[in-house]
Amino acid sequence: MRHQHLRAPLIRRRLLLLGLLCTAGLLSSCNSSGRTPIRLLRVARILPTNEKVTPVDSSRDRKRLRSFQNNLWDVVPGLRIQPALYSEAAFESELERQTYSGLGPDLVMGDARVIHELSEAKLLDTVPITPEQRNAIAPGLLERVTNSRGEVTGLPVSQYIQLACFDKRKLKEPPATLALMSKQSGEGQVFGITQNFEDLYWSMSGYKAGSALVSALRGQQPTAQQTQNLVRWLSWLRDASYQQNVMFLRNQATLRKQLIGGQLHWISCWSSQLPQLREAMKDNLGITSLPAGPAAPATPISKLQVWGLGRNSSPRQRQTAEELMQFIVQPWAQKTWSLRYRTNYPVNPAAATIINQQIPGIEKLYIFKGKQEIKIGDEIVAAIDGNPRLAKTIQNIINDVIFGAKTPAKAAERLQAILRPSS
Amino acid sequence: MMTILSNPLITVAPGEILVEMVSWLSFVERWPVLIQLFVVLFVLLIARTRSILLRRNQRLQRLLNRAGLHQRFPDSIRVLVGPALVLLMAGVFALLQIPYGLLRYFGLLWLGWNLFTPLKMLVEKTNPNFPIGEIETTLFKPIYVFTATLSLLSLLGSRENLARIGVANLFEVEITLGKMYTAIVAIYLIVTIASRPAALMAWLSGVIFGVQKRNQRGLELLFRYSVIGIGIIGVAYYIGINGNAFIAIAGGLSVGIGFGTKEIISNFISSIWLLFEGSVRPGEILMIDGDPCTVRKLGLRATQLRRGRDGAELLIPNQNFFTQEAASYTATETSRRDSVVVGAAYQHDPDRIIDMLLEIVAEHPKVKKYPPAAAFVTEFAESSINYKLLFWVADPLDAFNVGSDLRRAIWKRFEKENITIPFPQRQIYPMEWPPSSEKSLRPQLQAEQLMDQEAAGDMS
Repeated sequence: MRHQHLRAPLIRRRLLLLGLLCTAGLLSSCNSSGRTPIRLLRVARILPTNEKVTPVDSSRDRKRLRSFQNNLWDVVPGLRIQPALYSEAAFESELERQTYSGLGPDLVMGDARVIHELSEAKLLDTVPITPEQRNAIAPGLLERVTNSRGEVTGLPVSQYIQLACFDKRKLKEPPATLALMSKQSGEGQVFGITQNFEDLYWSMSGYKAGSALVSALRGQQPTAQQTQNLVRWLSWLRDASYQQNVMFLRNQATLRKQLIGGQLHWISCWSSQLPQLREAMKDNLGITSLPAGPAAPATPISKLQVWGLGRNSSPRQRQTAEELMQFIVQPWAQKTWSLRYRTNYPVNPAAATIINQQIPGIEKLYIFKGKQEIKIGDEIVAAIDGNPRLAKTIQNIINDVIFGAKTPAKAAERLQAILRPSS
Repeated sequence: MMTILSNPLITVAPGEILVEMVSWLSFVERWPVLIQLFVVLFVLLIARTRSILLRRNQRLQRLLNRAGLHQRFPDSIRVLVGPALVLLMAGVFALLQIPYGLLRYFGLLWLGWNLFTPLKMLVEKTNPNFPIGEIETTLFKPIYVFTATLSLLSLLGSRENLARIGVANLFEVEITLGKMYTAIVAIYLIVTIASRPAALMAWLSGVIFGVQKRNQRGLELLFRYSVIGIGIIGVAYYIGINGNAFIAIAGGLSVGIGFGTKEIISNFISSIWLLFEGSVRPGEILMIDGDPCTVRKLGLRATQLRRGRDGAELLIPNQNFFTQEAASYTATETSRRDSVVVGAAYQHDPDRIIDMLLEIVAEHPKVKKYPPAAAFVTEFAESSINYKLLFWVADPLDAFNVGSDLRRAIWKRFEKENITIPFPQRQIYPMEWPPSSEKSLRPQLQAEQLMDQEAAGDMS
């Protein structure tokens, strides 16, 4: 009996030793397996929409990142990227818990606004921008990610832009202007637009209606011309909704589903959603720029994709992340990824020029055109994003116009009133 | 990485899960993570060695007893010291602005687990009848483990990722790890909890429709199987297995039934049938091989019975009740008729004996008044007139005891009334072989002499 008592701890100690040896072996094998040590980066990707992430999205994203990582092995040897996909609704609390545990991601990829929010919540470190990076990125874009203290919250890497997607079998010639769109809808072509204010901004810029809202935001009195532009845009919105073949739908996912299903012939879409559409429609998917308004070409809001640095990385992980960041904004990388995945637009002006020439259909794209309108759009979006109640009120007014519950003039007045800083 | 099973309808791809798990190793590179893990392990180790030492080392025990620590703090408080220490460390880390979330997580996890014991004791003290022990092991602890696992995965940043990994393809339905996890948890909960709503429904059926207590138990089982069945179909629909897949599964099963699982399915169907038919229900009494047995539980495969004779638990496959006969004392009529046989000497008047027997049986409280008991003269036997007393008892399991009571009462009454219960008597003479005529016949000769003397005495 006593003998057994003595043996039990001995066995336990041996097991413990064995466990420790195994762990040590496993750890050392991670460092020395193969010729190059593996450098693993955990990446959190925040999807640019509020849509639910499906397993298909997740596996597509994983595949893309894996091919991206394999292509990068020449530049960052041994790089392994482990992605985690989050929808916008869940990410902040999750990231907060992880960061306070020391388990946060090394890189966070997301919208400029999201990265800015995370940085304000002290969940990200600021990005030390090297002179090479500063040269590689369009200065206007870098400005968008610089906070009030002059720190860069994240590195702009690419842009998602809003486009027009259409079914080539149903629509031979996509409309270049809003007037043409209305004419084609009269001829039986079915157009789909979302009610969402942010997704409608492109049509607003065609009427130069944004300046009225920005004036109100800045606390200035909008000129009569500006107000008139706003009323004209809202009138277009109402008239479009009265047309039989222009559908205003709740969200982007429904639009895509109906385009794939053949109920809609033309929709406004985001470049980030092109893979799903391409998978479903193959060569029948047509892509073009959004129709111009009577006053100006359409200038949609671009969603700037930004990489932020997680706070928990070890020195080695941080170094890998920075190497990757250094490389990703260079013209070659920018051009290659934009052409390969055709979902995002480069932030590097040199690469943008190449893309404009190479991808048929988007040569007229506006990224560096209409800077004024882009700025106005950013200002409005920033104001809305910072104030969910304001966003809801604006959306309600827009819905009222679309469904004919409010006249455009009344709606314009109300919009300006609620955007004023005092209100 | 992908392993494809022989059946093309089902593919399994666990590779992505491994990749995700290997990626956790990158956390080991970070010193705040290492420090937190080290602190947790250190406190755990101390707590563990302390308890082991205490159990083994009596000197230490005595020392602690002298210090009075054990008397001052009961066991339920002492188990909270370890978690509190970890949480305290988390607070210190937070003050020093070092990541502390892991410490907080493990501290709270440990605290929650150790709180089960004091809470259990509290409930046991306030309501001793509440089955807290059973609920704790079947419900609370599993739920705790499920939630803690999810929470840890979300802390590691892998929950959403893992949840969306497709691990299997079942009849062209992509089954993700998340769905699988949810399905397992849901099925576990349905099977564990199903008895509660079923009991409630059965009780309601008693209150509203006046269903008998015995039938209620059968109904409860039926409800329970229905709840489990509906729950499992619901889970299957949640996973995305649609009607076609069900048909495919049913097709596969029918082949399976044909070969391997015939007995199981046959038993299961029998159990459902028996419930509907109501011939074998919990609480009923059946004669199995001549012994009365109470039905305790009607299971999916077998029925559990308790044999009245020796209290043995019998497990009889349900299909036996279909193929073999079983005498039921409770199917339509619950009472049972039993008998006591007794003999009385020839000199007593049979009418008197029969009246006496009927009086005795009427006095016993467990003998039914209706149908009335009856006594008969059955035989003019060698040394006695034999009587048979027939009586009815309400509960068949009581028949044995009542029979014994009646026999005792009969003996006492006969004794009182000077009624003899004759029994054959035997005389034994030792014999010798070959007989030495004088010796072996002596007893008989003596007996004859004795009889002769008596006869002479009588005559004189």
